[in-house]
Amino acid sequence: MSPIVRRKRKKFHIPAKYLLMILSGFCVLMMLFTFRTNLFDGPLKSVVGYAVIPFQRGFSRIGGYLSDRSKELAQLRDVLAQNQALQEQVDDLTMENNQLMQNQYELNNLRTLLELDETYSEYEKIGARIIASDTENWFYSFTIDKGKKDGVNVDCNVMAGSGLVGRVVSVGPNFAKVQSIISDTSNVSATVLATSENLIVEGDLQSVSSQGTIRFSQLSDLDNRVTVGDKVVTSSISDKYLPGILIGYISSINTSPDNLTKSGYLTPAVDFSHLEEVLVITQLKRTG
Amino acid sequence: MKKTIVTALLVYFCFLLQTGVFQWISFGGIMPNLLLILTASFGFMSGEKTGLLTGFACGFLADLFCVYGAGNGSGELIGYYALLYMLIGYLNGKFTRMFYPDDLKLPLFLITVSDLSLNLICYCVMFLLRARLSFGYYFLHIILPEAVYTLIVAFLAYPLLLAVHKRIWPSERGSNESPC
Repeated sequence: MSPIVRRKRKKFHIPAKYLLMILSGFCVLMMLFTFRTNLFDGPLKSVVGYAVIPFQRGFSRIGGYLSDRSKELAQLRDVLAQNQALQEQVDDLTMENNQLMQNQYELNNLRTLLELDETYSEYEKIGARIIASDTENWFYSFTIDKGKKDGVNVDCNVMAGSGLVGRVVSVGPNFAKVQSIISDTSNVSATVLATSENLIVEGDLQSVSSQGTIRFSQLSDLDNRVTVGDKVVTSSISDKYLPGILIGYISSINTSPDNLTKSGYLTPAVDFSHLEEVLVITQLKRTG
Repeated sequence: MKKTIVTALLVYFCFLLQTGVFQWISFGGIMPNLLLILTASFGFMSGEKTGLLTGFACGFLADLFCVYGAGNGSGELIGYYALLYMLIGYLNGKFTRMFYPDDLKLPLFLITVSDLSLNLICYCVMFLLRARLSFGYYFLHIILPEAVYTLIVAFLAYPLLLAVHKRIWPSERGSNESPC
């Protein structure tokens, strides 16, 4: 080998040990910065938005397609049997529906009287597709394909069907990251609809993955009025969540060790394992 | 140059598979960790330096799309997985001299151990420190299933990675490695 070639090699050579140290230092610095500030949000987000998101969209479509096909095969047999049963149910339900229509009419009248027609059907919403999950199994967060350009902002509430899914925690130009309410680090201030008692809904990996329920605590219910099956909605005192969005139904209640408050579990209104499309409420909660 | 481009494309491809497709093949909410398979494989196949750079890239991408719910409310913490994956790639690189492409035992063993240690560290940092104390539950329901599932996927993915590796590092095993 000629000496020139050797010298060239030496120039570009950094031993692995030093490279590890340099990059470790870089990681630690990044962690400190991102923990306290949003310094890197702008440029990093734009790069991600144009380099990763379009491809991720394609890949998630492939994933969705594959799972749809496999589901179709498995379900075909069930569907045939269900069809018959459902036909009978349709007749029953038509009867029931008539009755409910009457009730609905009455309810609407009463609501206008009470001026309580401010339900969340009035919030402005846009639909979004979930295009990526996170890479690990520890936190339930995901990425959607709508971002700043579509009017999504940090702290926008995210729903699926009629239930609360979570909130947007960071936005890029054409994507947004959503932290779901079942994520272990999530806390939501909520209200029991029937008695207007406030409580805190805390995401908990253990209860979510074992029973599909979310833990709640700090429910002050001295008269024992809250029962299993009660609806829990977001409370009006929450500073991130709009009031009156359904979170779930209480599935069990226990008295806390301090004997002052109650805690327990609630079944979420959203099926988090089969989320594909979500609704983002573009309206933000006004505080202060 | 060719190596860098191929590795970067591979990292990118694995990342897209991991985030876009793997949620659909998850069992009981548990996804296998393809990025870890890639990091560990490149570590013991081509040395410490390649391992740690691959790990850094994988971890950095993972960081960008994970919400930890820490700090300033945006829930982001960039650099955390980058550091962990980089260490895993580096440590796997220590086994380059023991590695023989035709022997499946060592690669699969290393991948499984890497996955277990990654998740144990994640548990300690992200959960134990927030007083989620039931280690037994998390070990049996999150850490162990992921390790097993990752092992199964590694069984399929490792030969493919090996084939790619043989194409771009032709017959000069270990020469890429730094002498220190």
